[in-house]
Amino acid sequence: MQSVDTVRTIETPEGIELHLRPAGPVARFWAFFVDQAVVWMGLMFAGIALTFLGPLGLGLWFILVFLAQWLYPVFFEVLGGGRTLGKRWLNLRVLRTDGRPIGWGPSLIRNLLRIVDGLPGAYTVGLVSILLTRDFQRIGDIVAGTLVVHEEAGVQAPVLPAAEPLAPALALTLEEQSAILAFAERSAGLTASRSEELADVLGPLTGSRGAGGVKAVLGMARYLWGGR
Amino acid sequence: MRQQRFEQENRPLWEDLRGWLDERATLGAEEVPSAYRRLCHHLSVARERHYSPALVERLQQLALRLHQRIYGERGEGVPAALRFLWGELPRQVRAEWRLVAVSSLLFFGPWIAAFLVVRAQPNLVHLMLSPEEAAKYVQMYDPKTPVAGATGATRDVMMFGFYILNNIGIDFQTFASGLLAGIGPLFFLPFNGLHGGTVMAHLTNQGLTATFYGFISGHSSFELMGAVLSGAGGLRMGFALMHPGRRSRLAALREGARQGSRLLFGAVALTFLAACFEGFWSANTLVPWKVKVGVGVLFWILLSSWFVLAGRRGE
Repeated sequence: MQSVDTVRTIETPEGIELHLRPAGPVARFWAFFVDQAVVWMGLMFAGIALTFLGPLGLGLWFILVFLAQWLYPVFFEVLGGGRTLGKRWLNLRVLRTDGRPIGWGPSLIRNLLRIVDGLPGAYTVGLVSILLTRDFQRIGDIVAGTLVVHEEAGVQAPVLPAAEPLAPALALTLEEQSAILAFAERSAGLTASRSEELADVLGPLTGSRGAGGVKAVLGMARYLWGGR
Repeated sequence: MRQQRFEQENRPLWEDLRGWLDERATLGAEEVPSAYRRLCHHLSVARERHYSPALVERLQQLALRLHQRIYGERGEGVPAALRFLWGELPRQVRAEWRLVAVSSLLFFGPWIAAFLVVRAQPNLVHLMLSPEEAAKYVQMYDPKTPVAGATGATRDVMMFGFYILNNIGIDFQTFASGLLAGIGPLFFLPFNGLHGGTVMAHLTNQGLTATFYGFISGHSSFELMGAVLSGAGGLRMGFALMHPGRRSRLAALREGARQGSRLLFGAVALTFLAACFEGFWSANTLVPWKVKVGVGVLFWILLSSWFVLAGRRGE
């Protein structure tokens, strides 16, 4: 089954494939927005506090502006596991294109090249580049060899709903078995009517509709999973 | 094998690996690689047998986190940065001497030309500077100008902060705009050179030799060579884009950016050093200006010999 998706697959030396989900322009815009808001609020408060120190405070404030303007993303990306505060907020992470964590060199390059991505204003070049590349990379990402991915929040092991194990009447293909298991794992988050609607699709297999159908599908999931 | 048994049999291993990632002492360092390979095997098996998507996803995320930890680079740290500045940077400057020479020419050529022209024809200063700007520079270096508001150490810190913000910012800008086929450095270097040469000639014409040269000489070597190196870094990137050689254009650009950013790192270190001297030494009025010029010349000699001589042992 070949699905249309933005997943980027990397192959590791162990011969397995890992999937990364590059983040699109909207999520990245909000991360950028949060970063900017944090930085400018911080600079403002620091500025107010530092005015009490006179010229000394002004000098320190200049240094803060320099760090915030140029190096804030670099430090956070390298020391914070690829995440600035905005990216943390939106569950994004910067990685190298081969899935490894980002280092000082690539981070510096991708963040300095914001100047080019910002041309001719409002990140136009960056946006066009993100929309044209397969992995949503702006110019800085392309040159540094990095990409911004969605970080799936740690998936908890779902508990299969209790049900009497029930052997399916037909031999199911692996994909079909996997779909039934996926339904059972997600059923806790579905409303009763939606569960019934989905289970009704399997009416010919379960031979019942409504709540009875759901119970039968959950029973099959339990059976496939290995319950006795 | 049913999924339940598969999970039951292998869960201890996954928990150990997860614990190791969370810095708990579940596995010894020498056990991790084989445990990781077994996890990779489990992931392939789970995918092949179409176990439930949640299980496959959990295994793949564990594998991804381990992949990042195992293949990630060790942090380079401050000692490595100092080693780079001490040995590798001069080596790279020598290896790329043509590029550094072009960058120097773009910067110092217009500087010297502007200086000679404005010395010969003082009125031509207004080609570069508006009357207000020219007057502002004269006032800045006029010994009779009282230092407004602040004196001593606090003023030094203020100026130090300003030099960091302004000068290193210019380095970054010059470097990054080099990506546009090198146009950035090709514009910024000559422009800053013309500006510097004009100001220098104008202040010399006004007879402010002692204050002006006394001020700039101390940090001039670091600051000007910093500008040259940041320009060279930007040109490296632009040149890689225009002339990729035997690589693909993208691969050449990535390599060019990597090499260029190393030159930029050197530029930033030099500019930072310049800001230290500019903030805390150059404005010092207790030392006679001729001594300060002597110190400045000494720094030029030291910096040049560092470029020429340092890091040869490892070559």
